[in-house]
Amino acid sequence: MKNKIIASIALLLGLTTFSCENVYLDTNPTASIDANAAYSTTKNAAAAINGIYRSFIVRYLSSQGHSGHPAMMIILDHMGEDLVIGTTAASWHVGETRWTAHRSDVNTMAQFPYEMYYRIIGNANIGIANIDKSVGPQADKNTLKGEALALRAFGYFNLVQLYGKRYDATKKPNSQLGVPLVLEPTTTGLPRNTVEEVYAQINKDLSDAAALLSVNRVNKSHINLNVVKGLQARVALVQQDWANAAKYAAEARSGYAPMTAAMYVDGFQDITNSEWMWGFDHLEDQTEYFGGYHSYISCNYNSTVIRTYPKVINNLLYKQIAATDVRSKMWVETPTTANSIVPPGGVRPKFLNQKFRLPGTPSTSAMGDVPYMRAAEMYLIEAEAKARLNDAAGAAKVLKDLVVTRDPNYVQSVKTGTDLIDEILVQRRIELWGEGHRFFDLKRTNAALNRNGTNAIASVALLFDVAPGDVRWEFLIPRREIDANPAIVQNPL
Amino acid sequence: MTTFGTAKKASFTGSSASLGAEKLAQRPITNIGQALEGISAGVTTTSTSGQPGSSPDVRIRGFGSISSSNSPLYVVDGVPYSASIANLNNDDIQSITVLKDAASTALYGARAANGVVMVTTKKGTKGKNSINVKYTKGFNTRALPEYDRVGPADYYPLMWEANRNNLAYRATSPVAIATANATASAGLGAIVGTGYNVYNVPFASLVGLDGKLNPSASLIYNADDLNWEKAIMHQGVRDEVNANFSGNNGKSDYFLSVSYLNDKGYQIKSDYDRFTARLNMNSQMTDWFKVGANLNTTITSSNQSTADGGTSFVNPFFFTRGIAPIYPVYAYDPASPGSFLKLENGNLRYDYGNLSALGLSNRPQYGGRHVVAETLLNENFFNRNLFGGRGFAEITFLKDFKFTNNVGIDITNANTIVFGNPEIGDGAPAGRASNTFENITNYNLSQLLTYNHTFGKHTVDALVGHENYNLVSNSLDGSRSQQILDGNYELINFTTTTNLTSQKDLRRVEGFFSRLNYDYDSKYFVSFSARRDGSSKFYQDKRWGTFYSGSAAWRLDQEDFMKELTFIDNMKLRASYGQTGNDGGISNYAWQPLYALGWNNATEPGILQSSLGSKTLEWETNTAMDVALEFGLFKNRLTGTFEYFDRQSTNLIFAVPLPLSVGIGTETRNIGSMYNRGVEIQLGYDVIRKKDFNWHIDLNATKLKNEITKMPQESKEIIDGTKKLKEGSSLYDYWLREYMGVNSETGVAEYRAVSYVASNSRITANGDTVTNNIANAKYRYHGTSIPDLTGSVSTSLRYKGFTLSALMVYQLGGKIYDAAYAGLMGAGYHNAKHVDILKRWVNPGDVTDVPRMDAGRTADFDAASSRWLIDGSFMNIRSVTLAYQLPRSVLSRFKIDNAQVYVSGENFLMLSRRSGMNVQQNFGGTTSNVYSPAKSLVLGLSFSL
Repeated sequence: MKNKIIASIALLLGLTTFSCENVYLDTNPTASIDANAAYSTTKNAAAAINGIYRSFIVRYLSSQGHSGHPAMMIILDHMGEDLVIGTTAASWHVGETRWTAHRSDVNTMAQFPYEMYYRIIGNANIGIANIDKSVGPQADKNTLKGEALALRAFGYFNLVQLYGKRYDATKKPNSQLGVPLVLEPTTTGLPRNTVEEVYAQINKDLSDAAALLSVNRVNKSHINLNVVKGLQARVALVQQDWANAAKYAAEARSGYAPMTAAMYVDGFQDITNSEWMWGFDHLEDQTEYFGGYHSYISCNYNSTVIRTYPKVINNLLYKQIAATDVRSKMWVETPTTANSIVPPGGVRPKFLNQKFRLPGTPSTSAMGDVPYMRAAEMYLIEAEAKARLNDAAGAAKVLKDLVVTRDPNYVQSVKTGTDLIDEILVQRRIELWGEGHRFFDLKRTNAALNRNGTNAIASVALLFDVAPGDVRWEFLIPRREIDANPAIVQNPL
Repeated sequence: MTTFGTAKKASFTGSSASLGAEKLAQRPITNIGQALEGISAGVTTTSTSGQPGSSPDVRIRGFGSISSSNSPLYVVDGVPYSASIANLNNDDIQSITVLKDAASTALYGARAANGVVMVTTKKGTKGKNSINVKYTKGFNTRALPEYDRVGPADYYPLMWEANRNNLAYRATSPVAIATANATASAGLGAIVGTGYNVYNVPFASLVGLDGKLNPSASLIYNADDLNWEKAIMHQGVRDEVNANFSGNNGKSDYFLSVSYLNDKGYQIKSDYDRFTARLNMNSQMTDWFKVGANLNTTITSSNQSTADGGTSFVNPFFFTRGIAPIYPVYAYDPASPGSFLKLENGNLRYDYGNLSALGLSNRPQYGGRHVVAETLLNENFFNRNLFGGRGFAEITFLKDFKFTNNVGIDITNANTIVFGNPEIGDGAPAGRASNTFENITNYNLSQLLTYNHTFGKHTVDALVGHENYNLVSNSLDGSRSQQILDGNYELINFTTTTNLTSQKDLRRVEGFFSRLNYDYDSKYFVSFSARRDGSSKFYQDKRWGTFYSGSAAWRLDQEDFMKELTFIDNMKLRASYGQTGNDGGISNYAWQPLYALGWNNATEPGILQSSLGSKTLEWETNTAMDVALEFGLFKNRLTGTFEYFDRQSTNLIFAVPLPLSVGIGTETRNIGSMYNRGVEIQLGYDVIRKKDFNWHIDLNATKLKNEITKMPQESKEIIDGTKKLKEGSSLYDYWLREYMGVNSETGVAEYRAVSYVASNSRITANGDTVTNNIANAKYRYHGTSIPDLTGSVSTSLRYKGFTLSALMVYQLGGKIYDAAYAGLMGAGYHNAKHVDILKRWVNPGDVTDVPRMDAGRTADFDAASSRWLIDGSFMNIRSVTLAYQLPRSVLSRFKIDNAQVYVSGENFLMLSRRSGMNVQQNFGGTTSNVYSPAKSLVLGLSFSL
């Protein structure tokens, strides 16, 4: 009898604890959501598109100096002659300045832009493929699809300029290798398309986006019709399609007035600025700390970079700025505590950057906003395109409309031909310093890199001349891609 | 001790190794993982970091997985343990047993694929009540020296050369040698920092046009002023006290212990402060009902070193290893060279490298950073409370049946605070802090029904059981910046939130299992088991896997035909075969395609693709077999085991790298197969066996072969850092550029070329095509980090009351990729240099394998290549203990049962091919700037009443 009682107790205990159902093993994360829900509604889809904008500004390859598109803006200027490392203490972006980093296939510099822009493209591809199936108003779907198309075009436009040989309008079709055109979600590596094909896709995506977008948007961090036109203007400029460059540039800046001289002094850290067409609105809880744009480019954030090797401007370029021009104050030839701001213990090399300045002295936060596109650039594109179309008067007028807002004494240029183009390009270098245009400008204009006679420090820069057409104008395809994608081929070494 | 029960060594059919309390008691080990080194053939560990409390990595019989976990499962008092083993008090441990074969571990299922480490805590022993007290005091110092580096007399000329050679040899517009010499001499100060001249001659004449240090130069600072290591390292004191109380009246037993440990590392601000308490009670309440509980708590607080292996300025090993030998810890007085600036309180002022306001020049290396000051001013600590409980109720019925209900719970609550000070470093100028709370609760429930029956010469032992494991982890993580008042690191004392997030994660495993043991006449033993496991990491159609195992043993010594061979006391032949599933090391939600939260665009919500997921992902399977002969000869004077094992891993889970152009980095798939095969030998010998004099030696050796046998079709080769995975290669085969030495005419580093390119290649006299451009350098295999032979030798010598015991571990062969050394061999500016740099190329005709100094060619000269490989053989005298047992005659007068005094040391001596190299840092054979192991030496006193 006793045994039976014990046996029953044992059985009972067993039964109560055995009764696990299959749902016991169904678990769900709290820090992520099911990918299938990402485009189930337009509300979710909006979050997925917002995530892409955020992916512009995060750290890649865990490298502080390679925090997204803003880092590319700084690095591409370092690769030119105008953004100069101020002292020999430099450690970040030295290999980039010397043009060695992007020429090693295992270097972060070969991989990070490739990985970042393709991540933008990959996420945009998911959006383009799925947005039509989501539940929500058609107007929202149009906007989201337009943004995704424009983001994809933006990604390819950067990639083709970095990894492909220069586009040459006199040699159509441009059959040199660009980058693989991945246009839908996949896990299979594709071969490289030609530069011509890549540009055709960029132009198609941008015109499709333009048809879907309007000038309205929730936040300046989004791409709207103005930004699409701005991108079309940039693309046309690189393709030497001067008529379209001038047309799109003029249309793009509609509604965005140049800053006044007074605004200019604080013009490079706040997205609400009237001249900014597109940027990133940096909030405190989205910081990359020492990796952020202003942690490298500002004059007063307390980072090792800014304290010990702040950025200075090419002295030869600086000398071309008129004393009456507000921009002459954005760099200081002989900086002192009275005329310049630096973090505590910071050095003050000559021609010191003051263009990018955060509120507060010293700034306790790196949370400046990032300017991706400003109306000034559109004036400069239109002026350059018109000048190249031999519309000297039209070009000079557009240039004057911009420059006079910086320098009230500026007189409309009477130059023509190459002289006028050169004047416009000098204005372009001054105006867009630190915003990521110089390397691409040298490449598209087939100009040499020439740092001779500048204040570039020999032991830091090492490199003073690169001829047009040199293989080093192309970034190497990263080893990581070559290993995983049998269809890919490397650029000439 | 074995799976779900105990077994006599003689009848055990598996492969295991144990370490008892007597061997553990006197070693000054803060983390019991340290005791696993050298414990047995087939068990290898990394060296434990010098951070007190840290755990080494452990591998049992090779490397079973590529992406999943390779770590063994810890089972404490019969229940899998998921909390940190650093919570366990060494003195509470009765035994540690390593189960190596799959048949023994199979019943633990999913998490036991890489072997099991069973830890059993003490119980009251029958007969008497006893009180044991132990006190130890000792200290920690650095076990490995720093690499040999050049001093200032060599450093300045090296910087001169780096500059001169860049000017003279650069590709575009090179400068004539004479001009370059003059420029380098004149420009030395500008490169190393105009205020950083440690000699009494001015910079302009410090290094002459011949590149040599001015012979009349003499140091104006003494060497300690330039010694950063000394400023941040000290002798860490270690104190430990233990007391336990136990008893057993035959029906009930109890064991109660308390301990306190304070272990300070040899780096400042690195320590481990731990309090533990344990109560183990068991009672046979009636003849059919037994119940027991084992409760423990551990309260830990620890300052953690920031030596994470990386290259952040707050890593003391990175900073002190890399800083050039001319930069002082304290600020020179610019007005009076040779003396120092003082603070108002009279202390010396640290040279932050950016004190330009005080007239100092900026330090070009690590400017504005100071690892000593930052370590002192910053905070990085955790407080961790653990509660653990084990309980069981056992019912015996129908004579041969037993039903046991087990429950095990481990709850960890931890709070980690990281503070960056506002004065210098990452927190400057406003200060910042992050504060993380974690709550990790795991429970493990199992129900076992066993049947044990002996009839005649047959014994049958059968078991069925069910187990479920549930892990819930909650975390809350916040960071704020802009400190309000000094000395308070709580977030309320800061103004701006820079991060605030929380998440909850869940992992579950469920298993059903059964086992049948049978033995005939204590001669023949067989065992079969089966287990079905389900894991929440896999999709519902794939989550269940069934795994079988079997083992057998034959005791030859019990056979009549062996009885005549009287010198044989024990001889057993055994074999086992078993399968286990592995799902460790991958995401808790590995099968699910996911978008991650936390990608907000300013104030708008944002998500981003984070994982592709895979509905076909399933269990990785580990199938292991072994065959062994165990023996004891000459009255068991010579004992030993010869063993062969073969572990086959199939369905390997791997994060397969996708082309970057598809927009997401990896996809988790079951991709391939790999094996680990090896031979293990263990021998023990009593050299002297007398009443008052014993000497015993144990020796073991393992030879392991690891090979990948199948890779996926879509990625036949996967390059992973310095390694490449491919069919036919091992998990740890180096895939590197082939370094071909230095061109004796130009001093450039040369590598075997992919193809001849006129601008960077040449064909050597041997017909090799070599290049000096790394982009054209060819990669190939260069051996493996897996050693030819590993093992240990231990010995114990007892003479009357004295016992001397020692353990030495060794490795023969295997290659080390010495990245930490590579960092000291750069051809550029601003870094400490290893003394091997003195062999660099200087003049045309020099034959050497160290390229010229050249600041412009660092990318080519310093690149990752076979140049940095070195033989990994080493020998480490891991532990030495000398103990003296006080004579009973003396003790009895004080009513003391037993008393001992002892001295014990860990990491007594470490020898390898390169002084300072940390060979055992990881299994992949690469070195980095980690907290190098500590040498601990303690004096202990223990007595029992």
